[in-house]
Amino acid sequence: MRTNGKHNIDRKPLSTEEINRKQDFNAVLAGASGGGAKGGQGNGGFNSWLYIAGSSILIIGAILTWTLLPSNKEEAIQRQVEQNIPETMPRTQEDSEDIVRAPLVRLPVKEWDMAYSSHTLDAKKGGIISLESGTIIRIPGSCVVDENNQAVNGKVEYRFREFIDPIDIALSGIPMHYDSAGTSYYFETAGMTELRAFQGGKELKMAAGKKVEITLKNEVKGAYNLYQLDEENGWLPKGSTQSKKENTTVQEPVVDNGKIEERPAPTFITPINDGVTAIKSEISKLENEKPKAPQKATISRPTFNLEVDFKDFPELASFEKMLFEVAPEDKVFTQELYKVDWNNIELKRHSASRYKMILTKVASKGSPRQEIELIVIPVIAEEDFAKAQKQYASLIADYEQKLAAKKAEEKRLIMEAQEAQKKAEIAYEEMQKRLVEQRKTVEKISRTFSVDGFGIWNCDNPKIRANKNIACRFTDTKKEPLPIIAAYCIMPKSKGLLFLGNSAANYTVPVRDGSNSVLLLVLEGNQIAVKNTSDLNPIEGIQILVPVPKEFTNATEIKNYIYQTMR
Amino acid sequence: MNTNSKYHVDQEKLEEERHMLEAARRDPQAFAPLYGRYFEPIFRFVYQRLDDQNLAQDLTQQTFIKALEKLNKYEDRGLPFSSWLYRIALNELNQHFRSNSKNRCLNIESAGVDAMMEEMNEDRYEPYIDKLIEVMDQLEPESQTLIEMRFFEKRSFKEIGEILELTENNAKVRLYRLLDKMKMIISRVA
Repeated sequence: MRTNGKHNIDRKPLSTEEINRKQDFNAVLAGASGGGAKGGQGNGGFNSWLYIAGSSILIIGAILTWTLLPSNKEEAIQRQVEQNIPETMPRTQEDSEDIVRAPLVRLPVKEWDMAYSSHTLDAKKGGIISLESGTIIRIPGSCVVDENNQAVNGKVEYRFREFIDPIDIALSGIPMHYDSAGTSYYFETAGMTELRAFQGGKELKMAAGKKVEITLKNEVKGAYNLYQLDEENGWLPKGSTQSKKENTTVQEPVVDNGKIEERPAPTFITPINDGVTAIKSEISKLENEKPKAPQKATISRPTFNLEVDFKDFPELASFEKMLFEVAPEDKVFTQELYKVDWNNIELKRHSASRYKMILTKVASKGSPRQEIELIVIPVIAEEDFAKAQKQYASLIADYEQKLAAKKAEEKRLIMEAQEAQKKAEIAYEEMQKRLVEQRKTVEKISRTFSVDGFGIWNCDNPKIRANKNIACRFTDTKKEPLPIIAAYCIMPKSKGLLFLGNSAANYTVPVRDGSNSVLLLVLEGNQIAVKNTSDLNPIEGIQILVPVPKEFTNATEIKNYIYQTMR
Repeated sequence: MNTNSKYHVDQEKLEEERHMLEAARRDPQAFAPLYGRYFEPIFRFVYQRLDDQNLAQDLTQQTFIKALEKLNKYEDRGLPFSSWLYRIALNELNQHFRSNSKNRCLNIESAGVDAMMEEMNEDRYEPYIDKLIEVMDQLEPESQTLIEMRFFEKRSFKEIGEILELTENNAKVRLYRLLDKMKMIISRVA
């Protein structure tokens, strides 16, 4: 079309910010789903009333929608209630874990939640985490920051868990419903992951610009969308994932008599164990108390007569009539010391053959405080020497007997520890051999994607619930309403999960002919009730379900029960 | 002449776009990243041909609505997804101008005119420029688009070809024939 002379020269360009303020993706979604007039069709102009800059949505037509914009939320909830499509999530039990749960994650029963595996890596170096399931997590270096966006050093604990079974996902409380372009969907999954990072008990964030690569290994083929759970807004689409076939080595557990054998730890018992350490300590103490051979007093040397408590000096026990002779190297002694009336005399060990004698006289009128240290040797006077020698002989024999006994005991304990270590090493080697035999190469499907934040990420495809539904009330055989915490429709083959509601009087259960979907009711008291949806009474009304007569302690028990008893 | 290199995407980005498109086919909400990525360039493309920001916004939004509606028909031919978006935008513009010709506006940049003069081997002087603008006003829409894309949007011939579904060489030949034609018209007038 000719411009008829309409032109501008060097018009001021708009900035990126000015242009991006005009974005309104919700309007595009609404327009594509059938609302809104089409522009440029010869009607004289586009209906710009639909696109009042950056503002809310107007929906025309028969398609029922709702919006997540705050101003329409109550209306949306009301519409939802009318359609009996639940928005509220299972009510939660008290959760005392240090992981701050997303508000949208509501555990039906805390004990049934899947545990995390824990892995420690250096913050700067990152590393690769390989799990027994075949999942590989590649963590780049310097990818974590603290709450103030400061880089973190040292060890970081990464906690991870993955889900492929929709029953596990249901019991984790992670929502599997999704609203897009005014339509409500449930998810069918190719795998869900949760990855978090901690240091010192504080949760860390992913550094800007960094990504962690996750490779899942399971049986689900094909293209699936990638979603991240936003704590406020639900699932955010983040692209697509594709499966790939690859050969993987899978480790089967070692089973003995129907029981899975526990693997011995690779750290072994060492010869230095607690028992050995204790006996060594006793030997050391005994050696310190070895009786000393008596020494004859030197006639020319000055001596002191001192009563000694042999409890404090057991090595002197053979010195019954003991004197303390001033050692030749002592420089302090004078004869004057004999004249002093000492208030206190203290004896201390000085060396292997020497003692220190500390003589103290307190200050008094006319004389100051005195303290003298002498180096002395315990000796026996000549007349008592023979007797002392006899006594010594007896004591030393007793000592050596005790020492020999303790050393024998030490030897026995070391040998015992060495035997135990040898046995443990053999058991470990044998288990390793059996594990190698139990490995096999299988063709597995892998799926790799990158995440730019910690938290919950899904490889899912949204599906619309079946058109055929049965409105139900669930009771027991006595027609008493079942105490339902949460109700789910599980599709094991397609790995789909539809949350039906919680603590409601009425539920709308979808029924697809030929599908193997299972109705799972989580009941109070850690119980469940299950039924194939194809066995439900097709005429709406009361459906009688018998709670399984046992308390389940974890998700594995529930899965085993469901897969063994349901078709 | 320097071209707008943001258009050209490497293999990695093309692969990434492919995944985004697959996701968007399964879930319209997943179209959001592509919308976010291309809103600005498409808006600029549309606004280049108009004088009304609101109208430019309307037509830009309509471009993305059409793209989302027809996503299942989009064929990946190894070209950036944006070339398809530009074609849709051009169609929307042309459809609008059929009944709203007065909204068509030529937005000229002096630097672009200089580049045009250089290609035409002409010296830059004001009366010639006035004539040039007069001639551009009178061109057929396809010719105007070619001039705008090359000289005011600084697109490469490869890019122009991908958007207008021409070969690179074809785009080049058409442009130079157009410049020759414009030069002849101006000299005749002079």
